[in-house]
Amino acid sequence: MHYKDVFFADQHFSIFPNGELYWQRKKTLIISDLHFEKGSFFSETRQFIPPFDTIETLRQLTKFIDDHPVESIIFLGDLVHDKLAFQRMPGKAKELFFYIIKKINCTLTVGNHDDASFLRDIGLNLTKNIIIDDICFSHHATSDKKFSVFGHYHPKVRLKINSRGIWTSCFILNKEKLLMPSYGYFTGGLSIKKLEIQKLFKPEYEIYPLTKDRVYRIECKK
Amino acid sequence: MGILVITVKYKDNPIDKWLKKKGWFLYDHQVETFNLIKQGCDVILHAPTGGGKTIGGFMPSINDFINNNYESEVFHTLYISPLKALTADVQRNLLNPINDLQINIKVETRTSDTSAYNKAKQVKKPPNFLMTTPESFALLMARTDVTDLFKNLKFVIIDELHTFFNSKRGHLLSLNLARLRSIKPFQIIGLSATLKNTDLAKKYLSNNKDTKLVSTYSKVSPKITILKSDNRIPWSGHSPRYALSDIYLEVLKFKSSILFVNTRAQAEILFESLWAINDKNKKIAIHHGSLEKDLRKKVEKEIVEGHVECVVATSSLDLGLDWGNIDLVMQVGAPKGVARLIQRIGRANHTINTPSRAILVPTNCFEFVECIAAKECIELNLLEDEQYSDGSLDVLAQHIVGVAISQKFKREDLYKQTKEAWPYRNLNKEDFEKTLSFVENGGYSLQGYNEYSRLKRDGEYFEIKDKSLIAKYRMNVGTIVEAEMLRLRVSNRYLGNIEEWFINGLSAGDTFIFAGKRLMFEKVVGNIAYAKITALDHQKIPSFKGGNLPLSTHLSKSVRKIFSKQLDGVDLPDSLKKWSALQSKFSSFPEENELLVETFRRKIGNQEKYYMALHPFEGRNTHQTIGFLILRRIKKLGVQPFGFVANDYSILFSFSKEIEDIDFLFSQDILVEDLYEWLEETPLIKRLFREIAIISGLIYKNLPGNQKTGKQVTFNTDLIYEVLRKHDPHHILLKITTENAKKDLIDLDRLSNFLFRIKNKIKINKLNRASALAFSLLFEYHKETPDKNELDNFYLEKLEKELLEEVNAL
Repeated sequence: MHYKDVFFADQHFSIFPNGELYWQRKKTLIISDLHFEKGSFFSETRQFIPPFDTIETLRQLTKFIDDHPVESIIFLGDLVHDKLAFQRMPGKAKELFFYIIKKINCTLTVGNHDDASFLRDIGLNLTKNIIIDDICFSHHATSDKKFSVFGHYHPKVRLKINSRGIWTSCFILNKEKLLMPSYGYFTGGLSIKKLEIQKLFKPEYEIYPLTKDRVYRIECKK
Repeated sequence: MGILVITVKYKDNPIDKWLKKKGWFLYDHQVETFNLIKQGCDVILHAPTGGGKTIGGFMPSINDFINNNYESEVFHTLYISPLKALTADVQRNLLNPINDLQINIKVETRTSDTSAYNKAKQVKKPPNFLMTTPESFALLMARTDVTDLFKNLKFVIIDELHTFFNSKRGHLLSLNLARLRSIKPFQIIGLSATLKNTDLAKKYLSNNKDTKLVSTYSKVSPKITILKSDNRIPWSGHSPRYALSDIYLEVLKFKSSILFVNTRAQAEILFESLWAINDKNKKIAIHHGSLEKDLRKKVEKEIVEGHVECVVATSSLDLGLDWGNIDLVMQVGAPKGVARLIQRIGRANHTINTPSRAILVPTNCFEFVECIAAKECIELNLLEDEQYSDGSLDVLAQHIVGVAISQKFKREDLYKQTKEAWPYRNLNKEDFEKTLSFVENGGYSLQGYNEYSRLKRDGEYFEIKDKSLIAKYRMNVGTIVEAEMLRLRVSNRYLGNIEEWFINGLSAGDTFIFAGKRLMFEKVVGNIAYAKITALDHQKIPSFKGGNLPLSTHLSKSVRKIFSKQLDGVDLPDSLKKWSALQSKFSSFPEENELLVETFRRKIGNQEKYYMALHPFEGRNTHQTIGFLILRRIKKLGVQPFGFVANDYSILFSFSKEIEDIDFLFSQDILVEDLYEWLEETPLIKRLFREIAIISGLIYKNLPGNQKTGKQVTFNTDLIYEVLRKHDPHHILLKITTENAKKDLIDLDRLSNFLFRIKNKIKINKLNRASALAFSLLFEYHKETPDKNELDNFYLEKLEKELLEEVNAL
């Protein structure tokens, strides 16, 4: 599998095309914004989106775990799309999810979509943030510590290929902050050109756009 | 013409009295329609533009209404047209005799432009004659009081009938007509100016009932000429620039004219170029579908009032509206189809016995031949057979929601009723059940959304589960799904809609033309793109996808015939004579059913490139498919292809080394083996799926409360398509997508006819250089390679000169 190495907070991480951030030295996988059952959430508005997105997301995750010696996973928040997600989740998906959290030490840094009262009972470590080696992992950006790894925004970027533009999700980082793309199947995105993201990263930053099987790197200065 | 049996004295008819007073008289076909309706038949009235179709269609209604002394509140006649503007126009035309005769008939329109207040009033106190569109009709049918509303209905009139045979709008209309028939029987009259396959037209209109056809032809054929220009007609491209001053001279000769072009981009370019040389200050306007409604209406009004003397227009002016005194129609660019050209030419004249005048302006050599062919077809009255399509199930899904909102239904009854709609006559039970179950709760094989089901079952009956569905249905009714559009705002006013992907390709400060204005792009906020007027040059032009129809099968046959005679007996300008001589000298013209294949190579820098040109003349869509299929085969031969370009006439491939086994590329199994593989991979199918997802109601484009944010479709339908294919490959939406793709994307029938026609008739010419026919695409090929200056014709002309010199050097 293609990936790109990135040095953040003096640590060596790897960025994978599906949006995984892997910290090899700690055997820790970081993924963000899985939004389980986002598709079925819309059944409330009578839009019957195919209920297979959670399965897709979990299969992708399982494949990564099978290929790498992952010992712990940090879910950077918004694991579920809404508090009824587990009730709607197809049996197959549930099975897969509980298999993973049983096998691997999983922590969820709670996001705005996560309902703590329910998630506490299913065997996840819940916390607002985790600090490892001066890096703070949390759903929202924080300045508590020197380095912050976070999600929430679902960043995407427009690439020009052969004079045609395509949107891809991406990582974006500078010396102190690293913003993760969303890992869920149906999750949309916010352009990195938007003010909310720009004000966090200006003036000098790097973008890692993700395509189906490659990671790219673009430097942005000014 | 049909049999005329006068059993009723139409002379007592009030309309006849009115016409007499005006010094006019009834046409035979109007009388015949009147009599047939009196006898209780359904009628199709087929008459050319200016033939009094509107009066002919409404005369039986008016007569019946007066004779029966109906109460003032009887909803008596329903008129449905494909265009909103047409409903208002017909209302106006109808009010003339009604007011003059002081008959007490209330005529109103009901379209998406009608205010909510007026709509509510209309339902409480319906007008006697109601003019509407298929979408507004569908909404009326989705009312709970539908039985009461239509209880007195006697006539339904469908205008521009031919536009409904091959479209999802036509499917929607037919479903609602079938349902209306089961609620209250009525007589139906179809009106059309262009009809060829009248048997099918009858069936579409009223399924198996006995429908009579009243048909009349214009006594005079239109005067069509091809514009003469002293300048050389280009070998390629779509620019009328070579003839611009000649076009302008013609425009000056006539008091009022319409210049039809094929795409919105062409309209913008022609409009701007004409103004650049408009030293006589002729009042020239522009009209196309992306312009803001009030801008369009203003232009339309100014044409009628004579303030605008010339209008550059796209198909937005093709249909119906009565423009009064247009003296001249020019078709700039390829006519593409005979019926379409007739429709356009018909704009020039609205009386039946004076010939319409039209001038055709080909923009390249191929188009010149196409213009000749179209002219011949019109003179011999050889029209295309209309296409008829089987009812699409996404439309049925939408319809089922409408039915359920209106009334409880039994599935068996609905199935029978659906089959009464002619496009759905072959609908099988299984597909119907799958569609119903999709409407109910998504219809997924393993797991449905039972809890949030849209329908609830009550014994044998189905009905809607809660009222929230009504607003969603109302906001999303219809079968026309447009690309994601942004509204364009320039200094406090809206100019129109512009495709999102085009705006995404612009950076602040880029300039472009829209509505004839030079604009500088500023920013996008929500769903509004902001720009300001600029004097700067070097514009981009929004290219508007989908504006380009392919060459019709019929016309392509005529074009092939002319080519097969080596353009013999055709009056060619000098530049075309040279073009044709070059083709004969260095290659050959294809025989009528032959596929001409030419191979040659060119040296570009130090690199040798190999080319293969095919000349099937089967239209752009078919060529695209053939192109992709052959590309796959080239790869199978181990040759690296660089790609291909296709237009309506030819396909040109280029690759890295010579292909030995050309026959292999065309072997018959190409359809079976490669087509479906290709179909699954092409991104085009995802665009199709998006349309189906929206029409069927899988996702709603508009949701109550969402409109202000401008966020429309919240889901990426490409992802839905992929996940569905993986997890539920037999889902009904995928089946609809494949069916639609076979018809629209690849035109499977045309493709297999083509392969059949060329079997054992492939002629391969190995050439030293590009032939005259192949040159045209060679230009386009090079045009597509540099990504900027896409419309910079200067570049093309330079290339053309280079290539010409190459040939002349022989």
